[in-house]
Amino acid sequence: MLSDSFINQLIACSKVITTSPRKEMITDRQHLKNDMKVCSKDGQYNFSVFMRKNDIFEENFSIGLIYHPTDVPESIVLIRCNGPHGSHELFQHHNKYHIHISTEENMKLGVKPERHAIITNEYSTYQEALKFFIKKCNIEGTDKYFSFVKQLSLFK
Amino acid sequence: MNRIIQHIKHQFNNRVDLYEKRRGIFQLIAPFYHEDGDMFDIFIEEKDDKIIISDYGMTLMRLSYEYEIDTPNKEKIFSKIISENLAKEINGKIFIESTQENIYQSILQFSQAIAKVSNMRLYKREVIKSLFYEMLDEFIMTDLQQFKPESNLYPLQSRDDLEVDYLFSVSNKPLYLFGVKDNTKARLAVISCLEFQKANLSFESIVVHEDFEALSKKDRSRITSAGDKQFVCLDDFKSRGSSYISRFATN
Repeated sequence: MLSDSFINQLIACSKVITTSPRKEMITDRQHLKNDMKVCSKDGQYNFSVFMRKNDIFEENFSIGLIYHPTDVPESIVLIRCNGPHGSHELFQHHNKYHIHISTEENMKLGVKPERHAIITNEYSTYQEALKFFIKKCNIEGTDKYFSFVKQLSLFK
Repeated sequence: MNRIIQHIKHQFNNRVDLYEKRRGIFQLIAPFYHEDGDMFDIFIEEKDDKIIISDYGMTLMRLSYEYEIDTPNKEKIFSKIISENLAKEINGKIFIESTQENIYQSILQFSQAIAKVSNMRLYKREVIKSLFYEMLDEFIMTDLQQFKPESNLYPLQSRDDLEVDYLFSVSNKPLYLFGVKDNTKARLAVISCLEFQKANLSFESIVVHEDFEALSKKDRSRITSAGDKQFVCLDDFKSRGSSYISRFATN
């Protein structure tokens, strides 16, 4: 069981890339994908990052951070930045960018930890979402893999 | 398409809605939710006098966040779920062909298929791994009944910390079985075998591993030295365990 403060700490802690992502996403079964592995700078915590985008509906994307604890076998999706792919039971609107975040309460209830979701205006494209995600999760050294992250910064 | 939309709404008692995602492709807004609260991705379009209900690849994309269908066995399970739920899959897109008369049943059928494919994430190795002892127990207690297995025994009365997982009393010499899924259990099995030998117990031992190669090199050496017979994985034991015990019984 993770507390909300520990979840936030895990999301925000400074991270370095341990397994590099591809420079370009690859196509797999009607979606584009990329992955990388990261760990906290102090080497204490291990994570993986997934990046997915539907091949047909480019606004249907998800970028997530998975925490892999060493003491329990199950991994936990801590945060997922989504496009407006459809409704969520917490907000009956099909056209909203939203962020799933794991909560202590959901873990206690035994439901999927990241069932909690909030609507966001932080991004409106996949590239902006990835930039936001990298900043939010404090992942260093991503510039050389995602050149647009740096380019987007110039315009903001 | 308007006629179909009205028909779907009517069939669902006006509790659903549809909006145009792309020209001619309508997304169904209905209370079918994934465990994380997101709605199922169900798209409806008309093609060549048929109504196609599909997910446009969203189910497998979503599954791939935490689970990949990347082995022949996983492919087999996936194909089985698809075909048993009367759906089809082409290049990641899951779909059902329907007609206006059957659209209500087809949508419910499709949502079943989506739910089952989504739940393949529960087959993750880290989840399945915890089932090793249960799977071993099920196999021994059902398929090896002829060898009269007994579980959880303590051969040394003074040592309740040295437990044998299963006993097969098939010859003059008891046959002890240890299930091992990690280094910790491997060490306990080694200590138990050595202590039983030290106490001059007459026995032979079988070790069934969840994954022998996953043990550390030192633990592999220790258990190979202490145990009599090892099966490198549960499948190995399932295929050869019975004949081994039979041969042991006749010696």
